Formats: sequence, C-alpha cells, structure tokens
Amino acid sequence: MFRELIGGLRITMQAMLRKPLTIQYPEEQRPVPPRARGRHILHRYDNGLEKCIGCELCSGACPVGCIYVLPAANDPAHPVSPGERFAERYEINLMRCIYCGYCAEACPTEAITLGPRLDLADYKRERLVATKADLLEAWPGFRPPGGAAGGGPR
Amino acid sequence: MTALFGVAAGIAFLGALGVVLARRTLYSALSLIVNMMALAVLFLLLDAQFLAAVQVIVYAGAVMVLFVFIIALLSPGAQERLRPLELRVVVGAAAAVLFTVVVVRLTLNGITVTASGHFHGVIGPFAPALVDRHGQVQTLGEQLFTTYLLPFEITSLLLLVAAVGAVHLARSRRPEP
Amino acid sequence: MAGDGRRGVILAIGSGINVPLTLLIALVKGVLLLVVLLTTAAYLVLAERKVSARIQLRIGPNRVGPGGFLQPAADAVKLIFKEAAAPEGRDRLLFELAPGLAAAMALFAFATIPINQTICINGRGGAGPLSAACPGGLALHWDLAHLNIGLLFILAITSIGVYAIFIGGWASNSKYALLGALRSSAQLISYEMAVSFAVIGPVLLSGSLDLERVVGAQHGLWFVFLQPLAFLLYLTAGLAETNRLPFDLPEAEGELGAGYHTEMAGMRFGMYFVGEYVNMVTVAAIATTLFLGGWMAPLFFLPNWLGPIWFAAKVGLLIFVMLWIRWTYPRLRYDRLMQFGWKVLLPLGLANIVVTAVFVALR
Repeated sequence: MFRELIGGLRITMQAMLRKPLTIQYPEEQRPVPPRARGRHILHRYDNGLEKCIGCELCSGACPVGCIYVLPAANDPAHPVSPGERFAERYEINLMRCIYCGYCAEACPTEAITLGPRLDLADYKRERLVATKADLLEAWPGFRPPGGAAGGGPR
Repeated sequence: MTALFGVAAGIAFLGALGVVLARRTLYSALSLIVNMMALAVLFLLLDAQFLAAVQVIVYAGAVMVLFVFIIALLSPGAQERLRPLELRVVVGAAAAVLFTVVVVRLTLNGITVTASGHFHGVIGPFAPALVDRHGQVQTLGEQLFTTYLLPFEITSLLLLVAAVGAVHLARSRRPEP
Repeated sequence: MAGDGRRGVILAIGSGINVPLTLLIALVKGVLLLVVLLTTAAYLVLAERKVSARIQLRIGPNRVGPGGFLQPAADAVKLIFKEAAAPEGRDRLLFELAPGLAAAMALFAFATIPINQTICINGRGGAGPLSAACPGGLALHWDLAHLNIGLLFILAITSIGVYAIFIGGWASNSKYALLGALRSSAQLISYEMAVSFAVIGPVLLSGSLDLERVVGAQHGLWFVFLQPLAFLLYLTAGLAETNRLPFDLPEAEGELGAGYHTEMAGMRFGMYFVGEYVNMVTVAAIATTLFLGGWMAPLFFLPNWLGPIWFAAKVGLLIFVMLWIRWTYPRLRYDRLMQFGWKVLLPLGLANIVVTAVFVALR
C-alpha cells in the first residue's frame, strides 16, 4: 500500500517541478491553424480594388441567411471593384453565422474568406453585426491570414 | 477573579435554566453544553485544569455530541411548556433541593473559608498542599488507581455492560446472516 | 506544576501589581496571534491554489498584485460584499451562530501551542526550556495561555468544534447540509479517537501534557524518530480532522454540493473557510510541537534563538505536505473511511500506546 501512496506523491511532485503549460491568454495567444474558420475577411486585389463584385451569391448560399449585400453600380472613373457592380453595403450578423464557410465557396472572385480571428464576444448586440468597415482588408499594410490580426478595425 | 466567577456561574445558571425551559429539544441539549462549558471555566478558576479539560472532552465533547446527533436525527417537535404544579415539577424541585443540601454539606466538610474570602480545602487526598507537590494529573491518577480503584473498575464494567447491551439490542432485530 | 497554571490563565491571583501587566501581555499576544493566524489562513488559500495549479501544470492566481500576492485581499472583499443568501425554514439563531463558532473554535485551539521557549525577564536563570525555570522574574510564555494540560485543552476545543459543523448543517434545513453534517460529525468523532491515541505516545515519552515540556523533552532527539508510527497516525487523522482530501467526505463536492456549508453564503461561508484553514495550521503546529521538536533548530549548529522561525518553517513544511497530499489522492468511500478509522488507525494507535508504555516503564 505504501509503495502506491508514495508513487502517487512522486508523480504530483514531478508535475510540480515541471514548467506550467498555461498560456496567459489575452497577452499570449496560440497561433490559429491556417484553415481555421473565424470571422470573415473581405479581400482586395493587389492594386487596392475590392474583390467583391456585389453578386450576392454568398448571401444566397448562406444556410442561415446572415449575410446582407446591397449592390451598387461602379463609377467607371473611380471604380471600387473591377466588375460592373460593387457591394455598397456588406453586413454579416455574427450572432447568427455558423461559420460554415459556404459563402467563401460560393464566391466567384474569392472575395470573402473566413479568417483567423476567433475572439468575437462583445457587450453590445449592435457591434456583433459586422459591417464592411469591419470586414474589409486594411489597405495598405495588410498582414496575410495566419498572423495575429485579420481585418481592419472592428 | 470574582468577576470571572460571577460571569461563568451566571452562564452556567442560564444554561441550566435553558435545559429545563427550552421548548425545542435541540436547544435543551445545546444549553446543557453551554452549562458544561461554564462549569469547565469554573474548574479552571479553581485551578483544576485537568478536570476542566476532561469535563469539556468527555461531557461537552463526546457525550453531548451523541445526544445532539440523536435529537437532530429524530427531530422531535416543540415540547409543551410545563405547568407549575405538575407532579414531575414538584418531584424534580424537591430532588434538586435535596441534592443541593447534600452537596453543600459534603463540601463544607473539607473546606475552610480564609479571611480573604478564598476557599481552601485542607483535608482529603486533593488538598492543595498535596496537589502542589505532585501535580494535578498525577494526584488524580494515583487516587483513581489506588483509593478509588474499585469504583473506577466498577464504572468501567458498567460502561462495558452498556456497550454490550447496545450492540445486542442493535443486532437482535436483524435476521441471522 | 499547579503553579505555572496560575500565572498563565488565572492571572496572578493575589499579587495586585502583576495583574495589569500580565493582562496587557496576554492582550498583545492575543491580538498578535489573531492577526498572524488570520493572515496565514488567508495566504494558505492562495498557497493551496498555487500548489494545486502547479501540480496540474497551471500557474494559478497571478492577476491580483504581483504573482497573485493580493489575491487573499480580493477574496476577502468578495466574500464580505457577497449577498448572504439563506434558505427558508432555517433555524435562525443557530444558522447565524454556527459559522462564528467554527472560526472561533479553530482560532481558540491555537492558544496553548508554544512557538518558542519561555523567556525570563528580570529573573534569575535565563531562558530555559521549562516554564518553571524563572524564579522571581516575569516568565514570558510564547503561547497565549500557558496551561499545564495544554494538549488536553486542544483536544477539548476540537471536540467542541464538531458542534459548529453539525449545528450549521442541521440549522440549514437542507438535505445536503444535513447529510454533510452527519457524515462530518461521525467522521470527526471517529478520527478524534485516533488523534487522541496518536498523541499519547509523545505524552508518555515526555511524561507531561504541558506542550512546552513535551518540546523540552525532545532535546537532542525529536519524537518523530522515536514515534514514527504515531506521527503518521497523527498526520493521517489530522487530515481527516481538517476535512481534507482524501478524507473530505463532509464536503464531497461531487456528491453533497458543499456538505455542511452548502447553504452558507458570503461571510458565513467565509467563517467556515477561515476555520478550516486555521485548523490546518493548528494540526500542523501540534504535529510540529509533539513530533518535530517545536521551536528547536533542525540542525544542531543552527542557532536556537530563532525559535519562532524554526517553528514556522516546520509548520509550513507540514502544511505543504498536507496540500501535496490533497492534490494527489482521490476521496475515500464513506464506509471505507469509517473502517479505516476504527479498524486500522485505532488499533495501530492502541498498539503504539502499549509498546510505548512498556518502553517507558522499562526505561
């Protein structure tokens, strides 16, 4: 009996002498897996034009109907996107989104993908409806997905 | 000293009253504990530290725990208040008076009151001179195992009988395995 | 022997000048002891959380103050300001009384534990290990109340502590609390026997119930080496007395809510908590006094005048062992617990007493 008791104590003592595994979350964060489906990102081309052409296919593909797109025609002199139309408003209700990624699959121009950002809690419901300003890639100085922060300001 | 004695005696008295007058049985038992603790304080004031500790350990600690245990488990309701001239009240009061007289008479046999008002026992095996020479525990132990050996052993036999009886009563209802 | 008792509890009968001074000393000692014990209890909670964290490869509380140093203060503030919800149909008087009783009895039990040898002020004969060695001067005892039956006093107070738990559970008018209280009382009564039996070994060897004399008798050879069995028995039973794993049946979070203090919220719970952790300190302190040579230096070349430090170090070590054990072993089943107490600890304790008594008689 004593052998077993001492054995148990030895194991816990060994654990005590090891370095803790804790990651101090808000300050230190684990890298997110590259294909993790977090909050969406609206992408741009390298020349700064938005990839989204306002076709609303993502909205149609969404199983929970959380994407709202308001298309508008591009001004040929100052185009927002390379196509005829662009998304004047692009809103995703994050409280409803199930992060399935169908919107990204439906998108013909790969304008929308699911990014690495996972800390989406908030105190206000209004702030949980992501607008185009929230989702659009910052420009310039955008860091590719897999880094710490995905989109622009919330 | 006198003030402490007064406080302890008062608490003991209130505790004793509580035992008799409390309407919930658990409160009676708890009052008895209070009374015993106060008695232990009185023993301490009389320099009988061993007796005080034993009083608390054996009575307030061990015996009363069982009482409280059983009372709490059976949880009897509130008792009716006793009427002043009921037979058991009269008999109880008479017994209490008789007991007091006997105790006072017996105690006065071995005690003188000094000029300063302190009691000093002079005769008997527990006279202060003897206790001071041998220490309390030793004096008590020696008396217990020499002079009072027979009562001591008989008491332990009584307890043994009680224990055996309790075991027998507890077991006999069950069918044999 | 009866003499030092008079100086301790019953403050100097007759010598009128001495009373205020001894009273004052007692008061200062009391306040000091209270502060030290409560602080220790508070930081023990932190220590427990830290040790458990490290055993589970975590870090533990580290946000309040540097390294979590102020966590106890935050805990206290939280407990004090928390709503003290109370169940319907409770016994109002006893429900309020029980937590206070638990804390008070835990603090009370520490009163007779000497943390250093008696120091002689203005008397012939310097500091000696025995309290009687100060004729004509003022013997400063390093315990709150110097009783010549100090050990019995502690046992008496712990036996009263049972009521705090039982009454608290009963007065809550709640199944979980009552069951926890029942288990707890039964367990405490059973293991108190084991504690008493384990404690008798050192008492027999030193021939005194005066804790200071018990420590004095360990000069040169601690009783842990003469009484290893009693030491183990005491430590085991002590764990049970403090309701700690693997004997934490009264609380048994997984089965009984929180046992006897299920219905206690806010500071009521806080009192029980304080009582429990102070009890840990007391158990460790008694084990130190009886088996580990109290205030004596652990190695002969170390200075003896650091008495309280050595004492604290030994107590700390024992407490760490208690924490370590808690986070290692699983809980015993209730019937096993009772069997262990009555059929293993008690006979071993008896055997130890018999062997020790024979040894002492033949010496």
